Amino acid sequence: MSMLQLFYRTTVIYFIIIAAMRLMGKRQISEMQPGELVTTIMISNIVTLPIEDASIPLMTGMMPTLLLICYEVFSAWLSLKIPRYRKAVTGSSVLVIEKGVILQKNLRDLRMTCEDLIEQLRLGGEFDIQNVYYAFLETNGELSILSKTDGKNAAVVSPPIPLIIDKKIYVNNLNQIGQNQSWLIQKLKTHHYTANDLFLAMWYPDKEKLYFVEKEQI
Amino acid sequence: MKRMLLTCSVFVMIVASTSLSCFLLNNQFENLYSLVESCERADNIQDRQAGIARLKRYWKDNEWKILAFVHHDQVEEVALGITKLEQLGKEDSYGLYRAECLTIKESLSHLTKGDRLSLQLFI
Repeated sequence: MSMLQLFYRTTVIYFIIIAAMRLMGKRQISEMQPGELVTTIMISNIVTLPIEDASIPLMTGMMPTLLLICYEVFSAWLSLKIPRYRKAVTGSSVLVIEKGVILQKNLRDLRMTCEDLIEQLRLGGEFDIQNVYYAFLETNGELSILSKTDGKNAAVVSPPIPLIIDKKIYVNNLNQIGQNQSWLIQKLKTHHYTANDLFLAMWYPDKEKLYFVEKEQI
Repeated sequence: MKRMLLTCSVFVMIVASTSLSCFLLNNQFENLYSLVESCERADNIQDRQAGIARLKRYWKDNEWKILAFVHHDQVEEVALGITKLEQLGKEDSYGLYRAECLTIKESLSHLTKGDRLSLQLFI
């Protein structure tokens, strides 16, 4: 392969990747969901082929790259519109420590060892496992930690639970707080809302209060 | 929404260019195939050389279009075959000449097969 050909191929591929990353959005650069990770790995492999081997047409590197980006954007759009699809593709966050108790069954399901958990806690800035009140393993593989901030005997705060996200009622979360849909609808009525008016409704177990964010008309 | 529209247009462009390239390549290969067949049918040296000249001209004009979409090693097989055919066309060895025609035809059919939707694509 001549140097000129190499120069031309690398330049074309470089601009395609820049365009691809812009199309996929900023989130791609920092936190990755499983689908995004797969796309990024595949793209990085595919684009290098026509650069390394001059006998491979440039089109065979460009076309799959652009196609993968399209699928990624379509998938993100479907995730936004269909919660079930999002759950199937990205999974959901899993509780690993609840009220200071390690949920060993959940850890086993996640194929996560105790060492992994301790390491993740340390990475999250929490060196004493006894000081952790709640810990969630998020869909991007990171651990979210709620500490018992004032030591073991201090009053601890339970994390808020989303009951409505983008007009959709989360029945599992309602069951988790020991309530049902009619209770929620009643609560919404007192505030002159329906589920369709809301972008977010969070339940604060300690304060026993609901927090609302109205859905904007875009 | 802007990003979605942009992605949709990119997707449409990919589908269109894929279909267009398939159509274009099949057309090129069919024309090449018929030119090789006409070379194969020629029964004297003059006709053979005229056929090969037509084939070479067509190949020269269209090689870059094929190279844009097909692995260059596969295209080289055909190019090499045409060069060999040119050499054999000048000689009086019809057997070798015909064998080379068949080899080129086989390479072309092999290239065309790759674009057809069949179960083989998924194996």
